[in-house]
Amino acid sequence: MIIYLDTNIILSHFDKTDHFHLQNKNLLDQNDITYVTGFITIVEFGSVIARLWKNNQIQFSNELNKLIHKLPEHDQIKIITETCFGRLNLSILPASGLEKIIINKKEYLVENSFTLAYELGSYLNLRTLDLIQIASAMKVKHFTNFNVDYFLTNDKNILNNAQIIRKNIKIIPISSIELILILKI
Amino acid sequence: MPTIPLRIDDVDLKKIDNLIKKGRYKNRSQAIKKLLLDKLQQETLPFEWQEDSDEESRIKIVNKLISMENFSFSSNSTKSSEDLIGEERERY
Repeated sequence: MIIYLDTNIILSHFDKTDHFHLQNKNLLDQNDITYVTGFITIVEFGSVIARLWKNNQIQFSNELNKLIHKLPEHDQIKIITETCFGRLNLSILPASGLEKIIINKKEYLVENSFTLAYELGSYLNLRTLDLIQIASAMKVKHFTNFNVDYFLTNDKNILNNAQIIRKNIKIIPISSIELILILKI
Repeated sequence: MPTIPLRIDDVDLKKIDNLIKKGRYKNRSQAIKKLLLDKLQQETLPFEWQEDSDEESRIKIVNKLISMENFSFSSNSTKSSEDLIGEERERY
């Protein structure tokens, strides 16, 4: 089974105070599931950590603070982000290629997550970053020859559009609670 | 425009000469310049606003943290993870 992880699932897995923390920890500890995500997830995660950090809304263990407190802030945020992704049994999808688009007779080479997200825009009722996430999930097929079975997210906007997404691109958005019920864990 | 001396091994030089024979480039100089500039365009160059970063130390700390038995944090924001990411996606 291949499952694409949305950013909120990874954040919740590491944030002890999140209301879905235990469910997501349980799910991500399953060894028989292949978890994947796109680099856009790292960008979003790092951005949220930076925002919480600047607002003094995130706390770490003393052990971690001792290791990083002398480093510049931008390095501390990168360390937290890279540690979180490094601790998960998770593959991060590499860039799969450039695609040529022509606008007003000029040719442009564009990373294909963006061209795919651009295509999806007219089919799905989603915002830009959601479209890039869905495009990343679709690209899993480039690397594994299989479609992702589920797009795991607790984002209400994506879950509310689950039927449209499923109908148009055959990817099933699912919440942590629903997945736990299906997997009987 | 400055000129730089360049050492290149026979195998690579032969590859360049073959590309010239195929008509892709006029001469060795043009081929090397074009290939170099194409590659340079793909690199992410440091920007002026970026602060110095010790990548080696960072990787060492990350590896140490990855091997720790437990790793988590506590957010004292009142928002859930999905709301924090929702904000990232400019939904609110």
